[in-house]
Amino acid sequence: MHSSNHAVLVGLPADLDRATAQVLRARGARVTSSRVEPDGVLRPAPDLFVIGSTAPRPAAAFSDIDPQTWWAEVEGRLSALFALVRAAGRELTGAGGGRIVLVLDARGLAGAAGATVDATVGAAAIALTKSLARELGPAHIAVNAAAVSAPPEPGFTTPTPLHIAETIGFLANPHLPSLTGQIIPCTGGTIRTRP
Amino acid sequence: MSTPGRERQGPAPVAVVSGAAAGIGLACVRELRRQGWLVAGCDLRVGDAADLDAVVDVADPLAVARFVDRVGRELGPPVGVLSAAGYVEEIPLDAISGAAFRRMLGVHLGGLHHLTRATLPGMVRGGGGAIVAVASELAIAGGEDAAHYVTAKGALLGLTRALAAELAPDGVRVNVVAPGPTDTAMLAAGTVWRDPAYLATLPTGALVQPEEIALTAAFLLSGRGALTGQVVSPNAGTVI
Repeated sequence: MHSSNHAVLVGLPADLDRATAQVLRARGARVTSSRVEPDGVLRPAPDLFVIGSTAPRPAAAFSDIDPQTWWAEVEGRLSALFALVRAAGRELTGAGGGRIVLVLDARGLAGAAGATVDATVGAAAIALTKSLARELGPAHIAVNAAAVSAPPEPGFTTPTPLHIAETIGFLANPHLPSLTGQIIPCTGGTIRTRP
Repeated sequence: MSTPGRERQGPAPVAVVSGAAAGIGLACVRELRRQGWLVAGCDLRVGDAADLDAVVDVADPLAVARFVDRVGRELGPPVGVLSAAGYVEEIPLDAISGAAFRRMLGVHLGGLHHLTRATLPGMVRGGGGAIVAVASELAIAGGEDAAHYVTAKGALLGLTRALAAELAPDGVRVNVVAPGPTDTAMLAAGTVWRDPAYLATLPTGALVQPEEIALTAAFLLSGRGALTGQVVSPNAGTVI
């Protein structure tokens, strides 16, 4: 079985990047974070990529955003995600397999007023996760995602970065080859539908 | 609830596992013990892998209540429940008798319901706990010739989500693990599930191993991700 030796973290918010590195290092993985080592040498060949696609922006009504700004933001973020995921897929295919964990915006599930950019990018990332799981499965690459950043609700625990990092660590477990194409809402229970 | 396991201070947390004598339930008993839980197992056949093994029909609420009382006396109050007892029958809709339907519901939904009723007061008093039900990918996507099984497994999802919402303020987390076709005796030799032509259609190309379900259930029971109301499905890519 594949062992998770070298994890690469790209595009995560700073607090989640730190927590995820902590969780993975505690399990003995080497961790390279693009935040800490933007030009880090990827040796040994990575067997895990954790890729962030969230970039929360201030709430803004759809009608109030200049159309070109809206488009540029959605296209920019999705293009960046596409490039990262493609590079990760190629790297892992070359290495004989591994895992990809996306961190995406939970507002892509049910939407939210004032968050059309985040919801659009989040939903696209969900569809990408599912298709890549099908496409890369035969290459022994599992692709899953943690959905984050839903608004807190009374009565529910608001997850900390460490909680989310633990879920990322679960999705990254190399002993779970059958876990692929799944999206786990990390919102403390406020989202209870299966994406 | 803090993280159970070996690094945890104080007495080991206690979990109750139904269906503990074989298959997924047995794998869960072994994994939870490995992670530092004290485990009480029950099944229709007596098991031998848990810290306490008993013969219990989970469809019988009184038997479940008596079992949970005994666990409390002998191991301590349970803060974890894993409802794995179950069985499958492949029968076309027309041939499913009322008795077969009621039994299916009694074991799967009744098992979760009775275990939850019996353990919940202690969990709430103790400041929290975790419940995990073993459902099936068929609860998500449906399937042929098992309408009673699919209905019973689907019911687990609804009860879990409602309990998750209702019990979140009490610190009790409730989740489902929904396995895909898993390599246990429940998938009989000669069935489609073991046909190489079928396996070749799976994105991962292989059956799910019971240890994968156990790792998933143990993570959900641990509370490390603060997840509740979730359906986590290691299913080999059958349902994405």
